[in-house]
Parts: sequence; structure tokens; C-alpha cells
Amino acid sequence: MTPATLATLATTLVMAASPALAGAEPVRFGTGSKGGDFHMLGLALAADFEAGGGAVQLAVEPTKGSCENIKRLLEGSLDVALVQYDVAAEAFRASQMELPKADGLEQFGGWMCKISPQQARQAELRLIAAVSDSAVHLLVRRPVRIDTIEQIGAQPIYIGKDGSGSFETARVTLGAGGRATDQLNLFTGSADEALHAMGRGELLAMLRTTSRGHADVGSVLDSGLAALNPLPEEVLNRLIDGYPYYRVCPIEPRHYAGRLEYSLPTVCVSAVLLSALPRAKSEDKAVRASRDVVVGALLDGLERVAADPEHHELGLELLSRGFAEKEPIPLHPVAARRESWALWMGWIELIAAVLIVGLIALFGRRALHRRGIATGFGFEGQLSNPLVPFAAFAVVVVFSTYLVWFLEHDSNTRLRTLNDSFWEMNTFATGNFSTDTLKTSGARLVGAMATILGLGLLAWFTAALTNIFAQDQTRLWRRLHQHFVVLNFREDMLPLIRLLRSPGPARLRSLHVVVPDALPKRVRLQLAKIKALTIHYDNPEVPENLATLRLPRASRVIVLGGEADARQTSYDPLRIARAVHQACARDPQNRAVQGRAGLAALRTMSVASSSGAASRVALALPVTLVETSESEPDEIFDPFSAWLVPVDSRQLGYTWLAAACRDPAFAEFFSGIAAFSDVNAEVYTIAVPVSCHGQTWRTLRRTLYGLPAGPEKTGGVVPLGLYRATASERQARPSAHADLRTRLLINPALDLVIASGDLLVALCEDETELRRIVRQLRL
Amino acid sequence: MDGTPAGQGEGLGRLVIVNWAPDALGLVRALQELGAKSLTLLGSHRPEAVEAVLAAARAKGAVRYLAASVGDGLEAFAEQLGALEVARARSIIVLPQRGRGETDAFSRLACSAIHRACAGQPPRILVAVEDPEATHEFAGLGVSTIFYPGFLRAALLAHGCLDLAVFRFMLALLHGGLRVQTLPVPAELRDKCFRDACLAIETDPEGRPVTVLGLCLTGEPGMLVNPGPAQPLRAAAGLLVLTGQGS
Repeated sequence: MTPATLATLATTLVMAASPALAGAEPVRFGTGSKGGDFHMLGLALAADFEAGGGAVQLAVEPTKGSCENIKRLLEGSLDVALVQYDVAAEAFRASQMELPKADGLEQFGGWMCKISPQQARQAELRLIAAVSDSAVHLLVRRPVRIDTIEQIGAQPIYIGKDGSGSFETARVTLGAGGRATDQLNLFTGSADEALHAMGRGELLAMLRTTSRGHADVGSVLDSGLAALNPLPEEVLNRLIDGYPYYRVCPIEPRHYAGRLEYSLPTVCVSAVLLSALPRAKSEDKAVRASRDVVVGALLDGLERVAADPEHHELGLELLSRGFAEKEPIPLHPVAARRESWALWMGWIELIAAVLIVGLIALFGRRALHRRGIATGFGFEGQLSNPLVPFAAFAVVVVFSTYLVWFLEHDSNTRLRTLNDSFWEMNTFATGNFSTDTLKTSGARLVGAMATILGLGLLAWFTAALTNIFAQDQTRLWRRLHQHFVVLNFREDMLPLIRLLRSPGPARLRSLHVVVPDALPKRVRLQLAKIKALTIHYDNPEVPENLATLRLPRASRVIVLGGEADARQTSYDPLRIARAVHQACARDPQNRAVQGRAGLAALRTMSVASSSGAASRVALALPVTLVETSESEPDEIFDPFSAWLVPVDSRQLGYTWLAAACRDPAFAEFFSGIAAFSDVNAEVYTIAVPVSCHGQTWRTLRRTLYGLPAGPEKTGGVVPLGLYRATASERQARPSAHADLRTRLLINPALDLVIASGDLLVALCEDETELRRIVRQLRL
Repeated sequence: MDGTPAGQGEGLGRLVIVNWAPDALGLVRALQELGAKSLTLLGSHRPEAVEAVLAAARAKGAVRYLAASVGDGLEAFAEQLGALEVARARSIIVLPQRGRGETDAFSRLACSAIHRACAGQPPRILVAVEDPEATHEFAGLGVSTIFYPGFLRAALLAHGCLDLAVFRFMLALLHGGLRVQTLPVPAELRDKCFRDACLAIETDPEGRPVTVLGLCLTGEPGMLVNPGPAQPLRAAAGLLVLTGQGS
């Protein structure tokens, strides 16, 4: 059994129980002109009542339209009638006005349809339901377009028949544009005659209030005689402000498919079914009861007609509220009860839906939890996730979009659609709003909240993104590929860090420094200020401590000699070199390429082991420079000679002094090339261009000397020799040191042939200049 | 081509090392390896304490040790230096004196003493400092070279990180495999430019390849390394040449 059936049954029972209806007169139902939509609806309702066989009968009376209907309702010659809402609301407002004291004024009614307060007070108007919707259509003869009502001037315009609701609406619409009807050249005649006049070019515009998508308007558009013109925005605003019984609504392209490209702003007004009870009888309970039964029956009938496909063309849409900006006419008690019931049912349905969704989420979460799938949100963990503020921003915009649209779409021409409201709320949430956009206090409050929340969320979003970029940069600086590693750092090696961070291609290579406990805090603080440098506080003699440095992928490893601390403990370079070897053996890179047996030999700790297995393992090891001392001669590093270069820096200092004593020019020359300075030439290497392969050293150096100087007349290039590719070596190289010695050829034989992979060793102002010069090489 | 080490016609000559200590034996060794025949060492250690250390060095050449330090007084030290005729030495090396306060300050005092002992005409003085900021304190004391060993260590390792070829080149320079020498400008090149010198001088008289690095000048600066191909040779006192093979 459907709700409609139940309602019908209830009404029937009420009617049967009501003595007031026994032998009652038919209900006088005012409609409109014959053939019109109002009249058709009245006939449909009458037919429905008759088919239902109930006690209520309708006497459908054709009228001239809304004006006649409201007047007859007020004077009591109609019980119920269909009236355009603006006309009805004006009549209701008139009933609430104080009566003019002067008798003469009694005859004049300034309200719509010339209703006077005296007339309006004759009956008590109550709203049964809004049944359909109409929009103001401004049709203007093509190709004319008007921006203001003023532009109509003295040209003929058709606004409908006097006495109709359409006429009254057009009258106030033109009034909102600053023109009274008596100032206009109104076309008198029917709508068809107006169309013909427009075809002859005798009519400029037609202002009609009819349902959107009405066939007549569609025909006009099809004929090409006229096009729909939007109502000027200031007219819309004035109209809504003065007559809040309309609402702003757009005529969409879908209403006139293929004939309209864009949405046009206009106003809509509803047709409502009114009940009028003469004030003389308004206290009579029997009369009220019988009217209640009638209203109930009408509401049921309207629902049935609206649901009947045969009457689909009437475009019925039954509403109790929300069809106008303001709705002053109270609902009839029966309609109010039904509305209240529907509202409660709506809330119950909503709560039930929320409960169902909540239960589904709860059980779903439990099910996922049982399967070991994490479902927690972890708010603290999401603080740095930019998607969270972004999603929250989207929620704020969407929510405020709907709220503001709900509050103002009927009255604000800028917020006609959800699309308008969405973009408006975007500007609010990003703080770019203008103060005159929103009209109502409620909407302004929502806008303010959207601004506060939006700006806060944007700040959060920006901070989260910045955090990601900072982390990425940190990760970049800490990257473990082609990095430098300094083990057992000590204070007097700060210049090493400065040199590695001096301008040049290696400036942004990540630098990892392992510092001993003995390193003073002030030095650690100095290190902490250096970009792209990561400090590790670890014992470098323990291989496990070096595992995180991914040593096989390092560009270079430097092992510094230890400085005894207060406890006379220091780390030994040899033991650190062993740790480097072990750490490399345990590195995933080596694990992947080594056999299980070889790794086991390296890893296993036992009382005794064979060195054979370990020696067979060929590990990927970084070139490692180890600072040695007189007490630890180079020979003790022989087991690591394949990858380790011992550097007795103290002895080299003495050698430097000795060389400076022998060759006075040495000191200045050496200082110049050792310093990473912009003001002197240094030694650089660069790949020899392919065009030079197969040429002799003499040819190459002569060509280089012959190249023109740079644009800034800087020094040219002085070729010193070659650094040969490893593969081209013929000599046996038992150690990394020996490898370096044999590969570097300074002052090579003039007839030496340059091979692929050879690097040119040259003296030049800087590396960029060397590249520029070498690019010019054409042999 | 008659190539000689820049400014050096008779080997290392007599050398004096001030503030020498047994842990600086490596310096004695390095000097002897480069041909130093006569070394005078001045230090604060008692002579009998260093005898054993110097035994091996004395087998390679004359090494004399005297217990003398500027810590004993500037005037007294200057007199000791005068008695040693340090003015006739080829070069004087001043090492940091550890264990007596700020080392570089004592090195400066030692240089002052040398300056007095030589009556303002000291031989070539090389000072090894521990703090590079102390360099300017040696102005006016006739110091020709101030050496900062810490920077040498850092620079060597930094070049070792960046470019092993350059690192090896510097080691070769230090170990003497490569030498920077000064040659007179050949008469036929006097009116030419640096490019012409580079193209003309490809080998030494023995036919070994050499590289012209720059020019020696008479005033300041003392040398121009890689002056540019168009640099005229007119003002040059000599050519700076790199000899040796480096391995």
C-alpha cells in the first residue's frame, strides 16, 4: 500500500466522519482562461475527485487569470484558486496594512491587481501548495539586444493581457527597470498578434511569464524573429529587493535545447493554490473542519495528478516552502502538518542513512583490521601530508558552496547556480573576495568562515609542501651515490671541507663526515653549518657503523690519522681501512655480485679461518686515501693496495719545504695550483675530443697553443700531459698508487699517439675555460 | 738548453733549521734526499737526547745540532745565530716550536732574531706556521715563504677527491719527479710572445719533452703562470719550464 493510497484512505475516513460535508456544495475552484494550464489543472483535479467518488466535488470555474482569482477569493465567490504567487503575496501583505483613514482612499488599491487593504481583509488567505513554476522571458526582436530597460524607449512592447499574472509580473519587472507601464508603448492584443507584429518589425520586445521550456517561446525562438535577452542585473536585484516573492533563477540551455547557448539570468515566480476563508466564517469550527477536509483532498488530488503521466505536460512540482525569496502567506494547517510530517520523515531517513553508512564503515573497518590491513588515520602522521589540507580545503569550498547557494540562490544574481557559488567560494577561501558579493548575514558568515578556514588550510598546505621540498633537498644532500666520505675527522682538516665546498662541479656532492667523540663541540658546530654535509657520530673502526654510508658507491673515501684525546685513545687508520673493507663486503651492492661462500668467509667469526676464501672475493671498493704517518709506513697498507692510496701528509709537508728550498719557483707555483682560487691557473683534466684520437701529442699541443684567446683575454691553456685510460695500460700495476703513477704522463713523448679514453691534463684559468677551449679543437 | 733549478746554481747549499725537534727527522731526510750536504739544526732538546735520532742522518751528510731556542731570550738567540753565521746559509727553515705557548708567535720571534743576526740581510727564510691567520705578523722580517702544512694536507686530499690525475701531478711535483725550472729567454724569442715560446721550446737539450708554464719577471709578481698566448716576452727575466715525466 503506497503512502498516497494511505493518505486517500485517511481523507476518505475523515470525510466520512465529518458531518460538515454531508450535502455540502461543490468547492468553487478558480483557474484561468480556458485552454490555459491553470484551467487544465483544475479540470484534471475535478476529474480525479470524481473518479475517486469522494464527498468533495470541485466546481471548476474559468477566469481571466490571477487578478480575477485573487479578487474573487477575497470577496468569497471562490473557495480555492490558482494564483501567481506575487499577486497572492501582495494581496496578503495588503491585508496586513493599516486601513486608510480617509474614506476616499478606500477605493484605490496600489497593490498588484489594484487590491486595496479593505478588499484584502475580507478573507483569510492560506497556502495549500505551490504547484508550478514560471520564469520571466524577455524576448527581443533579433538582432537587437538590450542592456537596460531604458533602451526600450518608445518602441512597442507586449507584456500580456491586463489582469493576468503575467501582466502584473511584467509591470513590476519594468518598474524595477525604472519604467512605469503608462510610460511605455504597450502593444494591445493577443500573444499571437504580438508575434505577428514582431515578424513585421512593429514590436521590439515581449515580456512573458511562463514555464521554462514553454512551447510558445520555443516556437518564437525557432522562427528566428526574436531571441531571449537576459534581464539586466540591476533590474533583477531591484526586483528581488522590492518584491521578494520571486526568486532569481536561470533559463538554462536545456530548457530550450538547441536554441540557447548560455544560461540567462531571470526571475521565477510560482503558481500557488490558495484557500480563502471569509473572515466572517473564520471562527466557525465546522467551516474550518470542512475546509480542512477539502484542503486535504486537494493535496491528495494534486499528488495524484502530479504523478499521473497523462498530466506531465502541466509541469507540476508540489512545494510547501522554498519557492520564493520570501513566503509571507502561511501554510494551511493541513498542509503545514503534512509538511512537518514530511520534514520529520526526511530527518529520520537521513539519520537512518547515516547510521547505515556508519555501521558499514564500522564493520568494514573491523573486517579489514582482522585481515591485518591498517585502517587508522594517524592524524599526527598526516600533518606533513599536503593532501590532508588540500582535501580539507576542497571540503570547505564544497560545503560553503552549497550553503551559500542554498541561502542566496533565490535572491543573489551572482549566485544563481552551484557553479557560480563554487567559484565565488573559491575566491572567498583564498582571501580574494569582494565585500558586496554576498547579501545575507548568514551567507556572509559562511563566507567569513570559508576565508578563515581556507587561508589557514592554504598555509598548512604551503608549509607541508615546503617541508617536502626541504626533505627532498636534505635527501639530495645526504644522497649516497658518488659521495665523499671523511672518516675520523679532526679539527685541522676544516680546510679540507672548505676546499671541497669551494665553487666547482663537486660543490654540491654530498659529503659524509664521521667524527670521533674527541672532536671539540665548536668544530662540530662549524661542520653543522656547512651545506650538503652530514655528520655521523660513530666509531669508524666498526664496520657496522660504516654500513649506512654505502661505501662501494662513494666517489672517494678519506681516512684521516687520529689525534689522541684526553683519554689517550685514538682511532687507527689501518683499523679504519680494515673496517672500510669489511663494510664494503657487507654492502648490498657486493652481496648481489658475490657468491654466498665468499661472503660467508668474510662474515663468519670463528677461532680460525682460511684467508683463501676471502681473498677470492673481488669486492667493489672505493678509492680510499689514507693519511699515514712515519710510525705506520706505507707498507703496512699493502693488503689494501688495490684500492687504497696511503698519503703521509706530514712527510709531504717536509718534502714541500725541501723542494721550496731547492727550487724557489716551486713554492709559488705549487701554492697557485693547489689553491682553489679564481685568480690563478690550476691543473684540470678533460676528455680529449674524438677528433684528436690517433693524433700525436705534438699535434695536439701545437693545436691548443694555436687557438685564439678567450673573449676576456684570459690565459689560454698550457697542455701538460695525458691521464691514460686504464684499459690502454701495458704495465703491471700492483697497487692503486702504482696505477696512478703509470697512468699519468706529464711531458709525454712528442710522438705519443692519443688513444680513446685519454684525458688531457692542462693548466688553465678554470674548468669552464678549459672546456670552452677544447670545444674549439678541430684536427 | 741549459736548464737549472730556479735561483739555484750550486745545489741546496748550507741549510739551517730553527726549532728542530726529533719528530721532524723527516725534514732532514727530505732535504738530504734532495741533495742537502750541510744541515745545521737548532732546537730546544738537549744534544745527547737527539744524538741517536740523528745517527742515520749523519751517515748521509753533515748534520750539526745545537741546543738553542728563542725561548732563552731574543738577544741571546740572535747572538747564537750570529755565531753560526746564518747569514751565509742558503736557506733558513723555521719550524713551529711546540710546548711553549703560541707556536707561531715564537716563530716570529725566531725570525726577528735571524733578522738581527743577519743585520737586516737574511738569506731565504721559510716559515712553517700552524695558524694561517698569523701570516701577516711576519711582515718586515725578510721572510720569503710562509708555509701552512695544514693547507697542504687539505689541498692534497681535496684534489685526491676531485681528480686523481691532478692529485698524482701534485705528488710528482713534491717528490721531485717534476720540477719547475727557470730558463733564459732565447735571443730569437725576445720579440715574440708566450705562444711562440711554447711552440719553439718542446724539448730540453737532451731531447726530453718539457712544457713552458709561464714567465719569470724581475719585479712583482715574481712569476706569471699561464699568462696567455699573446703575452710578450720582452719584460720576462726567464721562462718557467716544467721538466721531468712525473712517474
